Amino acid sequence: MTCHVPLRGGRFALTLALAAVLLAGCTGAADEPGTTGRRDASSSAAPGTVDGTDAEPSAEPAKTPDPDPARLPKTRAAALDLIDRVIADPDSFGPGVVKRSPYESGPDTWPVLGEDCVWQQQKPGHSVLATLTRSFEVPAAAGKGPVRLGAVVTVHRTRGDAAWEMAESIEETMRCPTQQLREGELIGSMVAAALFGGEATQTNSEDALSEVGEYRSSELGGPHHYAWQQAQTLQFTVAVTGKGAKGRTGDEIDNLVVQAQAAMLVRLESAVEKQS
Amino acid sequence: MDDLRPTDPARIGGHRLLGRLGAGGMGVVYLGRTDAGALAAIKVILPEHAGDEDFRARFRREAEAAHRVDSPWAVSVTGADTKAERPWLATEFVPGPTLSDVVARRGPLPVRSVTVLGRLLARALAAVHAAGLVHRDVKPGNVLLTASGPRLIDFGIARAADATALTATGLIVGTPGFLPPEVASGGAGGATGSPGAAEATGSAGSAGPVGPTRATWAAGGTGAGEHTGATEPAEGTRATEPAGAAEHTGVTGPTGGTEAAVPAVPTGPPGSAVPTGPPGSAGDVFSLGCLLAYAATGRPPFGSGAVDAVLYRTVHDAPDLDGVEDPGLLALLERCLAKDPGERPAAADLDPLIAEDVPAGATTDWLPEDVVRIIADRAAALLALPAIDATVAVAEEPGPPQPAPGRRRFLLLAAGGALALGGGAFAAVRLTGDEAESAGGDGAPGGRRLIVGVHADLTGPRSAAGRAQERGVRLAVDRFNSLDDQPFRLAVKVLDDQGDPGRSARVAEEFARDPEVVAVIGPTSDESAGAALSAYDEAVMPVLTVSALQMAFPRRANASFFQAAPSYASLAVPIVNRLLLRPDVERLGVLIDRSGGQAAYQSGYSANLLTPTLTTGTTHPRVVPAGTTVFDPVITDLLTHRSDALFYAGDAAGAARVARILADLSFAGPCMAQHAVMGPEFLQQAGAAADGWEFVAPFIDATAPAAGTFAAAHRKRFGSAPAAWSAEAYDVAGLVARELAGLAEAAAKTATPPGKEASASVTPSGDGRPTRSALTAAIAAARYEGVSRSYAFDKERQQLVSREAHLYRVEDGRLRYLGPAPKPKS
Repeated sequence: MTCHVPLRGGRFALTLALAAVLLAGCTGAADEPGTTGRRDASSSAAPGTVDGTDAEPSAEPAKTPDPDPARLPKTRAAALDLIDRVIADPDSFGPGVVKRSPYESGPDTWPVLGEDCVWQQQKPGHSVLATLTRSFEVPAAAGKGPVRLGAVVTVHRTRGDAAWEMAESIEETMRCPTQQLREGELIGSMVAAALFGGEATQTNSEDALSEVGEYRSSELGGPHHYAWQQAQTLQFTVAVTGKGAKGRTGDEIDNLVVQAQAAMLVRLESAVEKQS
Repeated sequence: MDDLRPTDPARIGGHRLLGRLGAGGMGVVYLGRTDAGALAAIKVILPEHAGDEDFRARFRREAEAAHRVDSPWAVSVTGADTKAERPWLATEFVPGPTLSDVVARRGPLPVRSVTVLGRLLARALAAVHAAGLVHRDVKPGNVLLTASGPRLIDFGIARAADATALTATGLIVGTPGFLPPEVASGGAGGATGSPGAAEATGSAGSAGPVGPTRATWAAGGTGAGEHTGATEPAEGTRATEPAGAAEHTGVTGPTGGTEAAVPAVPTGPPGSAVPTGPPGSAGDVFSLGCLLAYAATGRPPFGSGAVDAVLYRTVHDAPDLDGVEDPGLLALLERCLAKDPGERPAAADLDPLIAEDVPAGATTDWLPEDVVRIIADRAAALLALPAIDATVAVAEEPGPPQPAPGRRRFLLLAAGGALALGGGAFAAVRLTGDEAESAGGDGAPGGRRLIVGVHADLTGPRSAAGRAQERGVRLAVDRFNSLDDQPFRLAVKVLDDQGDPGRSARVAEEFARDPEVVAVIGPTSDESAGAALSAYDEAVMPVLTVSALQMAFPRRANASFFQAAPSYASLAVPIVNRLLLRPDVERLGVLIDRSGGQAAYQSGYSANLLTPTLTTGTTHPRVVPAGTTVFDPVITDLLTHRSDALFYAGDAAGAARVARILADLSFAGPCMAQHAVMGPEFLQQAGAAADGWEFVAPFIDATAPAAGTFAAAHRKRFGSAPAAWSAEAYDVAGLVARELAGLAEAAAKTATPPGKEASASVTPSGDGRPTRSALTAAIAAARYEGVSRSYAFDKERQQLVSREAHLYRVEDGRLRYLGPAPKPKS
């Protein structure tokens, strides 16, 4: 879907998948090994006094699970343990998805989108307790290219840190409508929507970003559909990315992404909520 | 207006052409209509000029400058394409008579009218000068009169090029009788002597610090040097242009009149911010004096007749002001008509010279009644056009056959609410005629009753907007009911959703169940609208919201939900234009504070996305989480990245913090925030730091000229000026009433009811009662000129086509209405 903003005489129409993404009320998602996520592009803005400060009623997270403080990780080991229980596996996407090699990356790398809109690997910042990325694919089939998928779970020290990661993710799409994931891989024409829990039909997380765009690679050609979702709840962010290929529809990619994102959010909730 | 000729194009720049308004040396002026239904006057440049690259460059600069002319009393530029094969420039079309028409028909105007005219035209000129333009042809034929005030037209665009063309023949730019002496002297030389004399004189004019503009004006330059004659003069309107004196080496002094050497602008080097206006602006003030004298006496102050004689008198004789009795007006005219340009007040300084009891804005009674009638007649004649909605035609005209008296009178009101025509004044009379509480009553004696629902937040977070909208709807319904011979009466039913989505859904269900309710105005907020959609859609209830601005709502099967306001994305267009279409801004800092929720996200995101599309500028985007209270690092980052303007999308508290930080840092660039920030919270918390902040809002202000009639009616009915969002609800309720009347009338004339396609009809009526689905279809196809904007909906999403919005600025701790928001460049 597009939302047209007609300028004079329809001279040009700005297509904003934003509207569509907003309406879809989707969940969140991630990328590929290494490069994927959107992160901390600018640590210049110090993560501030986010925790516990109040917000507009309309913006207030409507969906905060009632966590058991004892189950919220405070150490790197606890965080890695939680990630292991939450992060997607091939089944999270549905049938036909397999592991890709290398399957896991992190927890010692953290992708950063440079001023030049090229993703680089850096060491995670202090606010990151642990992070892990996995990569998957739907293998190529007759007349169809491979669908590359990624999932990321990040545990921050505080909820405020996680909220800043969301803010920075939005900045990245605003700052770099075209991004180089790695040599030979580009995403472009990207539009992102952000919904707090309770806004529109978004009820899965405190905050959810959805981004769609075009994916091009030297290996798979393009443009193909590109979808990315990232959600934040408490001190956690989870993300899924999907990259289209020849013979794959946008809906196929979106469905894969939504499935895995929803699966991770459900796991996350059960991993931290109070047990009766 | 003349018919189009076979050689005329059918469309130009998104306008369908309807006729020719005029033709001149530079090109043809057409009347056109945008796809959204707005009328425009489109000046199309002749091919011989279009091929001239120098001319094109000037045309482009002047079109850009004209975009910046920001005055309700100057006709606004709505679009231009200076790169087209045939460059064109469109302005809003004002269907009023010219001042010269009116004075020719009824003689001089009363002192009060002339004084109001003087004040408002001075403001228009000040705006023109502030944009770096000089009008150079201020005359009664370039002032259009409407019931709500005058409009100055044709300011400077492409006239510089006219000058180029005319210079070669030794002619004068401007109109004898309204020319300042410093220009007339050049013309007088030409008229009395050889062309060479004229050239020399004119160039002399440019030899002073005034420079190029005067050269243009004085029709000189060709004698000065072949290399500059053709192009220099037209460049002169740019204040930054160095005076061209040095180039004009062939010229030593004036030969026609000593005044020619007197600088028009007494102070300031070229390029500096001279508050008195660009070089040559003093000439405009003189012309304004001539114009006002003409309006007051019915005669040009330097007579008429042979051109050279008029010019001679302009230079040498005192103006003829016989018959101007009022001492204040007389003094004003004498100041403006000073021979020495340096002695004339700047346009911006005229205000204090005008009697204080003259209102700052025009009121509907600024003109005598017979003039208002002339205006109405003229508007009717101009608007009796092919393919113009009958609803725009003011009914007094015999013109095209009108259906029935009741309908006709209604049409008159429809037009009145819209175009600030004469009809506006008539409407005011009826509107304020104390029709009392017919709304909410059980309707007219013997008539049928239809109910317009108001679905509003009356007690929740947006109760101010909700209550204002209720009042707007009540006024529109009162107006409708005040007319005789209506096929039905309207009543108002108001339900409060308290801004709560759950309650909103229940309100929608209740309206849907009520068979008497034919349409609903509301809901107030995005969230309430989203929650109410499905109930309304099932009932095929036409719903028009004026304040739910989300970029998109889920599409529903029956498409009965109309977003009758510009979305957050649409509002970003004028925001970007305002912030970046100025010479001192190249990079826009965009700060999304997620405390502002979805509205902030969509506004900021759109502004960021649109900037490279609409302008040559760039952005530096930043986002902060909801609840952020410390903005210093992010502001520092924005400034470090050389942001020279800022758009803050968030809430009032955050905006106040940001404003204070920027003030502490002495940030000098323009700052805007999304309109949700407007209000006492921001003003109080930001204090003096709020000054200069601007807003683009969907709502018009009570002080806007276009809202004059409405505001007066509101004061009469409710004892206070209308609050934000009231006029918009009034508009859409008026639209609904008009469409209902049309449907009822069509039904009365035919055996078959109009809503035959209405499967979900709630009121199966053998009485021709309009059904909801028929009304939905009628609204979808409607074009309506309202107080705040024109209304038409795109077929696919039922969103407002027009992006008209309104501009506000904080001055001295208060919000001030500046006028319509800048229109996008084409």
